Formats: sequence, structure tokens, C-alpha cells
Amino acid sequence: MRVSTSQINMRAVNSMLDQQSKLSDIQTQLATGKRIASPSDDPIASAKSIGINQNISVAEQYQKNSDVVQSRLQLEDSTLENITLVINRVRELAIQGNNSSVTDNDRKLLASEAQQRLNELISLANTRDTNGEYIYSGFQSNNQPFSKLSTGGFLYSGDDGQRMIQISPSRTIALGDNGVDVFQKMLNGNGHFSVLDNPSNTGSGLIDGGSLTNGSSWVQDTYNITFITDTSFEVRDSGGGLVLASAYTEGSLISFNGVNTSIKGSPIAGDSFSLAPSINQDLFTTIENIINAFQSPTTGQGGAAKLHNGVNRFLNDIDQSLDVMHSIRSGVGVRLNSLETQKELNSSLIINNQSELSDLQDIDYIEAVSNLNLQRLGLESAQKTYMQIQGLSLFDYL
Amino acid sequence: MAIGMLGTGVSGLLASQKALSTASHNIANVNTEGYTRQRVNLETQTPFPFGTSFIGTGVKIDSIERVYDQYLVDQVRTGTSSFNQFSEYHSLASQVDNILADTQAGLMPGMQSFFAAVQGVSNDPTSAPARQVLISEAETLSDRFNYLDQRITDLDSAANSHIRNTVDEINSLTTSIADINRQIGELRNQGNGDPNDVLDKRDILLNKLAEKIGVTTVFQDDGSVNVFVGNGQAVVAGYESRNLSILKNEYDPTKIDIGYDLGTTVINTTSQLTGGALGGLLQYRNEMSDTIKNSLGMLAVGLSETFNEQHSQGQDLNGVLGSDFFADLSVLTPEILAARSNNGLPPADISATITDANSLTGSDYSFTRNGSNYILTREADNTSFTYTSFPGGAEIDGFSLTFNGGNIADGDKFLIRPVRSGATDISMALSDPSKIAAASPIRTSSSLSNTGTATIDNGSIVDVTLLDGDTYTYTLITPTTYEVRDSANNLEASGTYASGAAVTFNGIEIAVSGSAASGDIFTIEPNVNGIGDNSNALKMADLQVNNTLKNNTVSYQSLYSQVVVDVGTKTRQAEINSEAQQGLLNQAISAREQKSGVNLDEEAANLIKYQQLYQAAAQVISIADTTFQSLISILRR
Repeated sequence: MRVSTSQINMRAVNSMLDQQSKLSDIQTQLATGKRIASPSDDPIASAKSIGINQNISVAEQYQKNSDVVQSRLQLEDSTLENITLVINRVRELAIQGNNSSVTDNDRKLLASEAQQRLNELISLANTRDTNGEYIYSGFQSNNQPFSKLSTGGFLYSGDDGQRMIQISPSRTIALGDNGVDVFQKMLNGNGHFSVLDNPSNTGSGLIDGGSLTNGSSWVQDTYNITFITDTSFEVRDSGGGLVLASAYTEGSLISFNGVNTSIKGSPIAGDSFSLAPSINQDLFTTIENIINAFQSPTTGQGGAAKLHNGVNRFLNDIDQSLDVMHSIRSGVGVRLNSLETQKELNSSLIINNQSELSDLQDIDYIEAVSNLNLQRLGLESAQKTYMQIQGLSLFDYL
Repeated sequence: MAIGMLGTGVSGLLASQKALSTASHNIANVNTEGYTRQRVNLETQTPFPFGTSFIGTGVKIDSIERVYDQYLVDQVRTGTSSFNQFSEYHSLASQVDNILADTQAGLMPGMQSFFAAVQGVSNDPTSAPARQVLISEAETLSDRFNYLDQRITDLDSAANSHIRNTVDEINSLTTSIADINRQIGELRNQGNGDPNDVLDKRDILLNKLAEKIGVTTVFQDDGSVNVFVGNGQAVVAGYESRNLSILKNEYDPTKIDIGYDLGTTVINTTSQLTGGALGGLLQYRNEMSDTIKNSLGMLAVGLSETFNEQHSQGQDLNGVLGSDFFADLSVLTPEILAARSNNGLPPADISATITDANSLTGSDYSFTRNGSNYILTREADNTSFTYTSFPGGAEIDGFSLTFNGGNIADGDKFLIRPVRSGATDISMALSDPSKIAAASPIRTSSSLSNTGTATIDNGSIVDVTLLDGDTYTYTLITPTTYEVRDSANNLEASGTYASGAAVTFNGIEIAVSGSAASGDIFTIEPNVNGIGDNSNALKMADLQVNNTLKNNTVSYQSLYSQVVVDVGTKTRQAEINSEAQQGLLNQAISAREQKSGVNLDEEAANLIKYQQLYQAAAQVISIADTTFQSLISILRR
């Protein structure tokens, strides 16, 4: 085959250029560590890596969100813990003051400690997070949730809102709990009904908090237990209908309409007690009740009974509150736990995605280095052959 | 006898001189581009009759010809056209490819930071810094869109000026070719045969023309060549050339087309031109630039419209319903370009409005009147919709047309580009961080005196325009029937209670679930002071991963991925094609070189060959002289 001189040149030069361009590609790959410099190097992998990058960035965002939730839940948990401690302390104070040997003056001291504890509780309920947001006021997080009204009672200035945070594509988790759920939605009495002694009672009758024995026979209504004589009583519903009439035996069960209670001590004719369906009573009111009970003097039989009945009622109410605290706290604990689990899931998702991304984008160094050597060899031989062939000319012999 | 020998010797000397100078010419032009080696054809001179036979009288030069194969030369020319088309296309496409690959300028990092900022607001809706970050990230994201679009526009204008230059070069080349045609014709008329080196020069010019545009050539008997482009537009006919010219696009004044000058009229031949750099430029414009702008525009319109829609359903820190977050593109972006040839007087004024971002296709549309019918054609797949009257107000693929006046004459044409400028137009409408609507405009609560355990969900907005800011009470009249009343005690909704069933009234949807007791009350009220609420921010954050576009089939990210795949694949194809064409071109050049290229060793051998001929012929003359001297010396004796 005939070849022209410029063809020999052209071929050698083209071959060198070609080898050099390949060498430069490998050099870029090695320098960046990336197999793909622009989408055209591998369009499908590029599109995939966009998707994977988004997955990673979204999952990392979920991790950040989880951290936000975690710190808020931890703050809530520690306030709940303090609240529980305070409640227990007030409970102790109540039991302490229930003792007949404690004088009215001592009780006033107990009452003033309870008042301090109540203030402490209100300040815990008004806890703010690091951003200055009240954690128990629902959506209205710049409103101080709880304040004492001059007219009596406590005002909640928040709402039922609960902020949810996304921690996985399909999962949101509550950042906290609102003041209604934590401090207000707690039933008094035993959770079904509460008992109340008539403040004008003169006998020493103490009524037991009672229990619900048969939910289906329980007719929600306010019942009055009135002593007709010192030894007999009758129970009437709110419409005045007679529900039960019985002789009084100290401590024996009084059962009607699916509820049980009992009365101890010596009631006097005309004394009465009432039994009403439980209503929501906020924690602060419950504590204020015991403070009030401690502050009134215990003169005579009736006064002592009033104190003991008041303490009993308080203990019932506060135990309900403690139940609510426990369930809210365990809810927080469950959320913290599942947050932990979700964080692990997210971080393994991130790792998986990163390794997939690395498979798509990153070069195999061993392969790249061996390619580099191969190309270098190729270029060197192209250069050598060029120089050798250039030396061959018939004119050298003329 | 002796005279004959002297003459024969001289003929050898003369022939070898010509052959040696041809070999020298070949050697001298060994590196000349497009040079075709020349060969001396020798033949015997007319013999001298001698008795019954003839005696030879020496050698003469029959011709000096190019060692030439028209087929191989044509191959090189075709290869040059194809290679230059793909290489030009590839060089533009790879610039777009690199813009998209740039992690700093690419869209995805901006999109991710933007949604991270939305999550930041969702995590901490009262935080002013989180809100400020969202505003800044949104501005950055719009800037990225604008930047990408600007880069593509810059490439377009570079391509446009390249097209202008290329057309000028083509015109200058065709003029030169016509001149050479004339030169060759004149030289041939002088009876000198083919002027080899001029023919080479014309081949080089034809090749240069082929670099710019695809050509076909037809050789004439008079030695001239006619050159055609497109599907038969003659740019060189004999000694004359015809110019290509730059035209304004029928619709878009920023776009240029290419016309073929017929002297009295200029016809638009843009769509017929292929091959060469010009073909590559036109291919880039049709396949890449337009589609990318549409895709980016659609993403910009889709993002701003869907995000705005969700934002409008929320409530900001001031307790006001969310305003536009991004600028509203629904009226701003759609373009309607009337053809310059339209006849309606006064010219029709038509506008388009985007009505549903989710239904947009990203295609351009042509709209034309045909008799009493109006035809709208989706250019992506050539689907036509025919209307018997102007389709005012009807939603087509997510947009609608409005006729604002003027006249549409029969045959008038319009180009509709619903999303083309979206990526240029996208910008922030909101600058006040407190106006980010992270909260829901309503909140719900259950009464503390409820005896049942039923709960109410947070409620959602189904139609923000129906919200009236009233407070509603949802009451269970019996454990199985409910009613909803407004603050003036008007009945808004009522029915049988079913746990978890949605109840809708005045644009609000709520659901109560669980065991309800008679007299239970739930309140749905305006979210006054609800600054800690992030319900709407959560829904805005969801948009990052939800399929909100192309009839709920793609997310923002997957739409962008499609753009990247599209550009990547086209660039890759262009690269492969360009490499393949390079290979074919090199083969064609090799084939031509094998035939027509100069080989120095061969020429060295020729030099030796003709040098020997020259020496031998000189020897013949010397022997003729010796013979003559012998004769003379005999006579002298």
C-alpha cells in the first residue's frame, strides 16, 4: 500500500494527540477523584446522583429536625420531672398537715410552703426554650401561658396547638405538648366522679373517694347523700329522685348506680355529702384548694372533718394529676426513643446513599492509576516510533 | 543516422528535465494542504520510416497530470461537513453540559438550601433569623434560575453571531469558487489542458466551504463546478455565485434565520440547511437551547406557582393570609408572538395566562386561524386542537388564551411560549421575613368540659378564598349526629357523626375522631397570635419531595434531573458522533493521501530514475559526438 509522507506525519501526530487527550482525562479523574466531570460523561448516573444528593440532603435535614425535637423534648422532660417533684412535695405537705396533732398555725406554715410550690409550678408551666418561646402555650408561643386571675382561678392564654416536625418522609413528631394537655385536662376525684362534703357539716363524717364498680350502670349525675338522722341517710339524684335509703354503719359500703363509696366517723343529722361526675380541674386550682383548706381554722369536730375531707379530696385530685404527668412524660419518653431509632435509620440511609453516590461518581483509583500507566506507555511509544520513522529517508543515501 | 541519434538523445534530456522538475515540484509541495501529486506521462515520439520498418526518434512528454480520484475527494468533503456539524454542536452542547454540572451554579444545591431553610422556619417559626435565611435562600434560588437562563442566552447570542460570521464566510468562499471557475475556464480555452494547481486550489476552497455548510457539487463539461446547499439551492452556478443572507425570525426578533437570495426575493431556508458548522449551530438552537429554556422555565413556573399556592393558604406572623412568596409568573411569563406576515388589522392582541402549573407540558404551541376554525398545535408532539371559535378562557395544558381585541385574519399565525421566560422572570415577591406564612390560618380545640374522648384534627384549608375569619363550633347533638354553627349561630354543616370522616364548610376541612359523647364541643377559630404554628411551613417543606408537576408525575428534582439527562445524553451523542465522524474523515483523508499524497522516498527514487535518464541521454549525445569525430578524423588523413 502506498502511503504519503504527510500521512505518516499526520498519523503519528494524531496518535500522540489522541493519547495525550486520554491521558489528560485520566489526570482530571485522578485529580478530582470523580469519574464524572460533567453530565455527558454518564447522563444516567448524573441524574441518579442528583436524586441521591437530594435524598442525602433531605435526610440530613431530618437529622437536624430530629436534633431540634430532641432538645425541646429534653427540656420538656426536665420540666415535667421538676413538676412531678413539686407535686410530690405538695402531696407530702398535705399528708403532713392532715395529722390532727398539727396545729392550725403549723398548717399555715405548711400552706405558705405550698403557696411557694404553687408559684414554682406556675413558673415551670411558663418555661421558655432557648428561643424565648413558651413551651406550654400551644401555637401562641409568645403568650405567657398561665397566670393567676385576680378574680380567682388561673387563666390559660395559649391554645390546643401542637407543633409537628418532619423527621422522615412519612413521619412527623410532636415537638412538645400544650398547656391544656399538661395542666388543664385532668379530671378531679377518681377520674369518674368526685365527692364533696358540705362545708356546713358539723359531724365528723369523712367520705371516701369511692370507685366506679360498673361503668354501664353509672348514670352521670350529681347525687346528694344526706343524713336524715345520725344513723340513717338517703341518696337522691339531682332531680330529687330517691336512689337509695339506708341505715348508717360506719365504714360500710354505700353502693348505687354502679358506684361505691363509704363514710366513716359520726355524721350528724343534716350533714350531707355530694358525689358528682368528674370534671377537668387544672393542677393549680387543685393545689390552691389544699392551700385554702390549710388556711381555714379547724375548730370542733366539723372543722377537723372538713380538713380531712379536703385533704382526701386533694389527694384524689393530685393523684389524677400525677397520672396525667406520668402519661405525658412517658409520651415524651416514647417520642425521644422513637426519635433515636429514626435518627439511626436516617443516618444509615445517609450512609447507604453516600456509598451509592460514591459508586456512581468516584473513580476506582487502582483502575485509574493502571490506566494512567497504560496511556503513558502508549504516548511514549508513539513518540519513539515517530522519532524513529522520521529518521528514515532515501535522501540520506543520495 | 547520427543526427537521429543526437535528436533522440536531446529528447531524453528534455524529458528528464521536465520529469525532474515535476518531482521537485512534488517534493516542494510535500506539506502543502490539499496538494495533489503530479505525474509526468512519457510517450515515444513519432517514429521515422526506414525502408520497410520504422526507426524510433526518442521520447516526448504526453502530459503532466494530477494523481486524482474524484470519489475520494468527495468523501473527504462529505466527511468534513459531517464532522464540523457534530463538532460545532458538541462544543456548544458541552458548554451547557458544563454549566449544569457546575455544583456551584447548578440548580440542585440552591433548591436543597432553599428547602432546608423552609424546614428551618418549620422547626422554629417564631425565629426571625430562620425567616431571614429563607428569604435569602429563596433569592439565591431565583438568582440561580436567572443565572442559568442568562448563560444559555449568552450561548445563544454567541451562536447567533457565529451564524452571522459563518454566513459571511460562506458568501466569500462561494464568490472565490465562482472566480476560480472562471479562471479554469479561461485557461482551458487557451488549450493548455487542465491547470493542476488551480484545480487543487478549488478543491481546497470547496473543502473550506464544506467546513461551514453541507454542499453537493456537480462538475460541468467546461471544467467549472456548480455548488448546491440545503435541498438544492445553488450557491455557485458556473462563473456566478448567489449569497445566503441573515433574516429576522418570523416570530422572534431576537432570533435570526438564514435566507437564500434570489435577487428579487429572499426565501427562508433555515430549516433546509444541514452540515458544516452552520448545521451544527442550527441543530444546537433547535435541539438544545429551546428545550432547555423551556424546561428550566417550566421548573421555575412550577416552583413559584405551587409554592405560592401553598404559601397563600398560610398565615404570617402578623395574622394575615400569605401573599405571593415568589413573583406571580402566571401572567408575566407566557409569551405570544405574532408572525410578521400576519394580515389582521388592527393586529390581534392575544394574551395567555397560566391557570394550572401542574398541567403544563413545557412545549411551545402554534396557534393559527384556518377559515372559521382556530387550530392550536402542541409542537412537542404535533398534537392539534381545533376550535370553531376563539378558545377564550378554555384551559389547555395548564394555560388559557384571552382575546383582547384587534382582528385575526385567515391564516394569521401566532407562536405561544407559555414557560420559555420562566427562569428569567422568577424573582422574590416577599422581602419582609414576618410575612412568611408558616402558620395555618385556623386552629382547633376541644372543650375541657367534653365527656367523650373524641379529638379533632388540626384542620386544613381547602379553599382559602372562602375563609371568613369566623369562629365555628362543632357540637355533637347526640353521640351520632353533629352540627357546625358559626358565631351568629347559623348552621354551616350537619350530619351523622362518623369517626375520622372529613367535614367541610366555608373552605375549611376538619375531622373529629374517637368516641364522642352528646354535648361534646369542638371549636374551629382563627389562629389569632398563632405564631408558634408551623403547619403551613410543614406543607411547604413537603413540596420538595411531592410530585407536583406534569400532572403529579414529577417532583422539582426529577424534572431537573430530566433536563440534566437530556442535555447529558445529547452532549454524549454529539461527542460520540463527532468522534465517529472524525474517524471517518481521517479515513477519507488517508484514502485520498494514499492516492494523491506525496511520498518523499518515491520522489527520491524518481529523482534518481530521471537523473539516470539524463546521464544516459547525455552519454548518447557524447557517443553521437565521438562517432562524428571518428568520421571527421578519417577524412582528415
